[in-house]
Amino acid sequence: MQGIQVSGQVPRRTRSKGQRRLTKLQPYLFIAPAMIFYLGFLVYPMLVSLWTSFLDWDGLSANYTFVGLKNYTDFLFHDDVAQTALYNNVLWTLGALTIPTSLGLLMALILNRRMPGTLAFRTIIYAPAVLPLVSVGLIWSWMYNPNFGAINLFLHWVGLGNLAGGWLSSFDMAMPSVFITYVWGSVGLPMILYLAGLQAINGDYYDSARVDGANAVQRFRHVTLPGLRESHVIVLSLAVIGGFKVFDLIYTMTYGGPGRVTQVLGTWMYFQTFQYYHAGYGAAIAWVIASIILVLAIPYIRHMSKE
Amino acid sequence: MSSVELVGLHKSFGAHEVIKDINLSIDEGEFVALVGPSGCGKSTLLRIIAGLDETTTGDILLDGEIVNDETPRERNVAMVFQSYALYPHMTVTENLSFNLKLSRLPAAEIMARVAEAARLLELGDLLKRKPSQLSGGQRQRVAMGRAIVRKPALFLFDEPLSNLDAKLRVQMRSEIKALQDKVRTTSIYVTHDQIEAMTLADRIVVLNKGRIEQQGKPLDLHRRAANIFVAGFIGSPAMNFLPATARLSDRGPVAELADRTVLQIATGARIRDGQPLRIGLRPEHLALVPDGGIPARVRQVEPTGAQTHLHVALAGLDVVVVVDGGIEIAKASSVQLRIAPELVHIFDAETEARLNGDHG
Ligand SMILES: Nc1ncnc2c1ncn2[C@@H]1O[C@H](COP(=O)(O)OP(=O)(O)OP(=O)(O)O)[C@@H](O)[C@H]1O
Ligand SMILES: [Mg+2]
Repeated sequence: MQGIQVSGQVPRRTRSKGQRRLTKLQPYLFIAPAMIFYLGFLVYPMLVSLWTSFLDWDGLSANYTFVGLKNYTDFLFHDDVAQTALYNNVLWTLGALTIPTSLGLLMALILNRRMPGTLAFRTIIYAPAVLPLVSVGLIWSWMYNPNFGAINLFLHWVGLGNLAGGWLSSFDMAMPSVFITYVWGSVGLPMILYLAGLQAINGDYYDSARVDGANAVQRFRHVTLPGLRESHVIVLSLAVIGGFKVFDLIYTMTYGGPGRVTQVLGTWMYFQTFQYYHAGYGAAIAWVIASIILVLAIPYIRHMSKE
Repeated sequence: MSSVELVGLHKSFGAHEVIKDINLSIDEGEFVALVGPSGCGKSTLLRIIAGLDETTTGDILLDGEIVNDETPRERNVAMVFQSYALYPHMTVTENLSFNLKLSRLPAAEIMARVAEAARLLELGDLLKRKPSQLSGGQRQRVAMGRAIVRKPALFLFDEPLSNLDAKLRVQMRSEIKALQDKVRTTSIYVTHDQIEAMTLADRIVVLNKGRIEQQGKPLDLHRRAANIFVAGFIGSPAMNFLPATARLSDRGPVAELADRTVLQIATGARIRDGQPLRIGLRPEHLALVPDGGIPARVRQVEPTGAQTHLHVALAGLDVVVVVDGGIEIAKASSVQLRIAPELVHIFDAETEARLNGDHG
């Protein structure tokens, strides 16, 4: 307090030592319930699964052996299906990054006008996004059914019967067929996010660009696209993260088949753990998935926390 | 540079008619201010001239040619928006050169024009910044620069200063005036600030509910407002209005106020005995006199420095009087007011139209 002259009496509250300790503890007391749940239901299981990934264990018995990084080296060097699954995930992610996102953007651009019926269209396109993916998978499995599925019936009806086939049982068509289902169910979210982004762009920018002589394409390039930067970051990050988490659609529609051509990391982890009782190996795959997502999601997380 | 002509302009949004039969011609190089209360259609009119909105009926002529179907680019107009609308992801340089790049001007020419605008508006140090890194006044300057680099035929301003604080607004106002003296481009300037209009414009056009109430030189509007609306809109502090009755006595025409106080008015007003009037008294025209004036009681004293605004009770109404800031007057004191008869504005109480002839 050197150099500061205070005139008059400043009332000062005196506190006992115990009181002061309580004040220091107070914030932690407030977050304690959340912390307990977080530690008990998230951190602890994660640590257990990390430990499991270093074991050779069937997941049930009391016997296990510590094998170090063997599960990880097996995954990388001795498991052809894991390679297929990884390849499928990468392909899926590339597809997820481009197809539903650009479709979503296109629809957002079309529906971002004051026209009668746009609300109905927005609702219809977004509707699949609220369905559980398991239901989506089941519905589309019926549609793909070679005998009574809507798709083959339609092809016969329009005279393209020679194109009809067993969509999900074909080695070549199974993966694209599942992916089409994914696109159907996942254009809604990017559309909604892009719509929100479009509506946040100040209309003056468009007017200004028109006065500057920009045509429709130039306005899209110089006003709309830059204005959607935030939306791009969110949409693309979610697509990447989703691309490595694929499970439900594959599980319900192809069960990883025919053969193992549609296995992805998510299903392969499930098969290893619950079908083949390789809990240690399954846990290792889980950690591979988690690491990939984490690495890919870091730019997203950093971007979001910067805002 | 262009001359502008608006012929029989109408604009409706659905059933709501916003612009009602506007006829206006603007000479080459003229600076015209469009003023009027909020919602009177100023921005709409400007957007129609710019080519951002279409007319419902009527024609827009630039240099005598109908341009109704031309895009803003073809009309070669530049516009400064109230929000500035600087492209947020572009630097100042990129903002300034955007139009020139779209016009495929040679790079050297673009550089030269940007440098010229930067010099005129003192933007030199800011060229590499993004709009988010600029202050309000700097953004405003960039917005002006963006209009200038294009060397347009016509400048359109939509309340360009209304987002600035009072001090900056005054400063930018004189900068705009200086700039206009240099470039002399035909300009239409929308504002609801009548002081801006008075100080900047060669001519003021007063809009009300989509119609032109009056147009003319700033001081002409101030001295000979055609009706109560214009008289009340132009001038600050605003004109005082009092209901009165016309009396033709042998001492000449007078206006009798509600409390029977009589006010001498100029001869030559087209009034008949007993006609209901509204008289307008400019606060700066009311003078304090030692005696022989109209007695009034001071209700409120508002010193502003150079001037003091007195709120006095006259015929039961609140009347503002502007006096020299050096005069000391206490609240609740009694004063005597006088106004020269030829400075009393006389309006018909019903039609609200001006009744007296020229004076100044
Ligand atoms: N796109 C539109 N659709 C429907 N009505 C509109 C539209 N644009 C403007 N209006 C209406 O037209 C009238 C005039 O609007 P305008 O923006 O021209 O007013 P203004 O004089 O610029 O007002 P301000 O001083 O508040 O900017 C208002 O009543 C407004 O509600
Ligand atoms: Mg406006």
